[in-house]
Amino acid sequence: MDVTEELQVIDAVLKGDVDRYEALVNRYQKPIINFIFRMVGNYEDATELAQDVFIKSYVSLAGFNRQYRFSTWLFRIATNRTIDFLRKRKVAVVSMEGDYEDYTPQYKSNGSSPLETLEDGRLKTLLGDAIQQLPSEYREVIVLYHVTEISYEEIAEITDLPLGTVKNRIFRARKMLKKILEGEI
Amino acid sequence: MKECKGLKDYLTDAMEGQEKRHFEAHLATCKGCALAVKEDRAITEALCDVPKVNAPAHFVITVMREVAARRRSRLAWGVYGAAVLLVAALVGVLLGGNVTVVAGQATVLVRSLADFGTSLYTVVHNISAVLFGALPMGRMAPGFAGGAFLALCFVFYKTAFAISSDRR
Ligand SMILES: [Zn+2]
Repeated sequence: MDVTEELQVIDAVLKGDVDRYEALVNRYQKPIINFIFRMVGNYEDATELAQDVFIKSYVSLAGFNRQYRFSTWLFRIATNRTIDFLRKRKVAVVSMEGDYEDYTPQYKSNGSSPLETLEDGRLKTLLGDAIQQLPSEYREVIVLYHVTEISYEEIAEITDLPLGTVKNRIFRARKMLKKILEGEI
Repeated sequence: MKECKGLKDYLTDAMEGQEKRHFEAHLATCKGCALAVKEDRAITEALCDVPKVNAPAHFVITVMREVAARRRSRLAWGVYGAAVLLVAALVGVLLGGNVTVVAGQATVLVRSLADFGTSLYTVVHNISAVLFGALPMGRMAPGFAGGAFLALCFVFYKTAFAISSDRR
């Protein structure tokens, strides 16, 4: 479904053909759930929040600005909803931090980079957990860019940040991840 | 370790052409930058392969059911609104004449409601005329018209109720 088709679907939904909205839910359910899942770190919460996002998007669809893509609009709602959720859950997140002993990487000190010696599968799992330790403003951009594969430009629109700030945060977030994986934090 | 200038731009695709070739030449001689680039690439690759989750089986159905419920309640409010307008119009018909004639103090709102009511009244009268045979605009007409209004309101109410409580 390209941008024009999406606009047609949105028009139809706004005219009362609600069933057409299903195409948009179908198309974006996976990226939205994965984005929220990597943001909140819990599958049940992620699916529940994702439902809220799609319903909120339907209810306020009349306010959709056609100069953006639908995905930008949807991820805007998703980031706002998720940040709001994380703010309310902050206490619980802090108390989870005790569980991260596992992050001390098991590498041999042969002088090479510790990242090289981690086997591939283990690195991915550790990385998934390490993302959870990033401050939310860094987690947001790194997940949007690398997990949901959204361009720098679109992330800037979603987050209302200047392009330079988006790139800066993504760059810094990767450095933080490296440090977390090396057990330096 | 302090990083060299340009490293960030190089790693966030903010560099191209001559500038990029320059930096790549620098990479060949600077161990710090070469290592930083290598590590950043490793993280980037791993990030793209971070395991993805699937949506729950009934995700779309659940969302669409809720969306349909929102739409029904919105429609129902519309019908309720129309019913309220009808009742207001009826009140306007009943009051309009008296207020203007007796007190001459009808507000613009009441007047317009009265006008609206009068036209609706005519419509309903015509309908009832068809239904009940040729009915003279005598003393009984308002009674029939009122009854027709109430019946109409009842139909609106039932429709609204049916829409808002519909389960697919
Ligand atoms: Zn250098």
